[in-house]
Amino acid sequence: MTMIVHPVLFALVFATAVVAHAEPPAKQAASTTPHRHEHGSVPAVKPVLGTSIYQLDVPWKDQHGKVRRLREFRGKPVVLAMVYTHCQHVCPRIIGDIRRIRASLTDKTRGQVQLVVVSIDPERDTVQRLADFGKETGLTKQGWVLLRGDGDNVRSLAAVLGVSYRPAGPSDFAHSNVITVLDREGVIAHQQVGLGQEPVKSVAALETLVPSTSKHDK
Amino acid sequence: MIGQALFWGAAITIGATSANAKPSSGWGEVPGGRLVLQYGDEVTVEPFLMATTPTTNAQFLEFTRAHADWRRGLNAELFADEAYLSHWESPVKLGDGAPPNAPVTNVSWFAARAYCKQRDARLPTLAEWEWAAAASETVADARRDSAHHRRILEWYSRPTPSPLPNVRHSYENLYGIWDLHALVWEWVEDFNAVMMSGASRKDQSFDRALFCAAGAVGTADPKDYAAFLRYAMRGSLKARHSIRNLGFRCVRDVS
Repeated sequence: MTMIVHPVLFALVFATAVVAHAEPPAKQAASTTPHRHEHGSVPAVKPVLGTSIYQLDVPWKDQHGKVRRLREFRGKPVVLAMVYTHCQHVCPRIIGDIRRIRASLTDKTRGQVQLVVVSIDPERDTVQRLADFGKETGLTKQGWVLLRGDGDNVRSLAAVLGVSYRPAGPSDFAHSNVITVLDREGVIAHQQVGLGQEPVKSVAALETLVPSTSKHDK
Repeated sequence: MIGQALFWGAAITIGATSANAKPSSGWGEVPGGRLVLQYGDEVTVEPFLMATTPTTNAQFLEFTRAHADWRRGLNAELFADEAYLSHWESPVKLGDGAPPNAPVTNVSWFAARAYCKQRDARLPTLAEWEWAAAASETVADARRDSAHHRRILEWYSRPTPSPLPNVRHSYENLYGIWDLHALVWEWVEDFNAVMMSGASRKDQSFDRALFCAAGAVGTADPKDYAAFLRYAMRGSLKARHSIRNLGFRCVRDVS
């Protein structure tokens, strides 16, 4: 005997079944590590390149106390240096050198470059200290991100960038002077080594890293 | 958790029963101390536990079995260079060039760190390593003992054998720890604490631009040439380097 399915009932059941199995909209996949995605899910963003420093996926806190990850800057060229805010004599010169780079960029490029400094002295460079420093120096207003994090992560970041440092005396550090330019994928494009260098090469690197058209790249 | 506590309790008890007791576990107890590092800083080292030998090929193989992202070829380029584990026959097999009980080498700093982390351990700091390595078989600080120093330099002057010999190769020091000298160089956590000055001592402006406030290596004890070599080695390293005669061992905090 044939089964007769009431057409309206069938339609309701069918519609419910469809709704129940619908995929949720694919999340903006924040992960940039080589990933194993769940069966059926589609990554919205491809993984970063094998030499991108964004594979060092550890948390930092910025001068506003917000948790940040370096991979958030993916899509923009980045100028990155490691500093500490208590040094009186030489450290602010790295910041001065970054300011020189920034000032030498075209207006268009300047607007697309993210400036980031990470403290090698997380014990003294608390969020509050970074907030005060960012305000005193005008860096926060200019859009710089000032970061602090766990000592192990600071050592890892230095290792990835090729920066050397160690405590020297009760509140100072011996450290190398390196300003790193990252491309939009977080790969090191150029490093300016030594204080007081002419910014020419860093500027040239940054100018080539911004898109030349206004179209969105993936 | 309880098993671990019993294990560590046993290990520490064994270590403490007599001054000459050698650990039966894989960890030696290093007491605290003070020492002057080659760049002039005097530091205090807290007591810690140190692996009695460098990590072996077999131990590292086991680690890569459980952590595929550290297998040669699957590792991120950022975290190890092209020579990573290149002496192994394949990413999952040791082969003749990598005896199981020889120290694992061709491992980057990142790989060494990851290994120690998954063993609830960490890399030693430079100070911890130097402090443990200051000990001879009988004395905690043998660095001024010229015969001991000559012995170390003599080892350093030999070419690295291939394949490397098994661990427990050179000598067992006061704490029951082997091979801190004369087998392989070893990674430390803060290898990049070392900043090498320019070749010319007169080039002060060169140094000041590159490094802020860094003392020249070798100022603490100009006679300790072996130490100078170790520091120079560390200063030349990049974290992703995989080098044939550079391995590592782990340490644990005492708690």
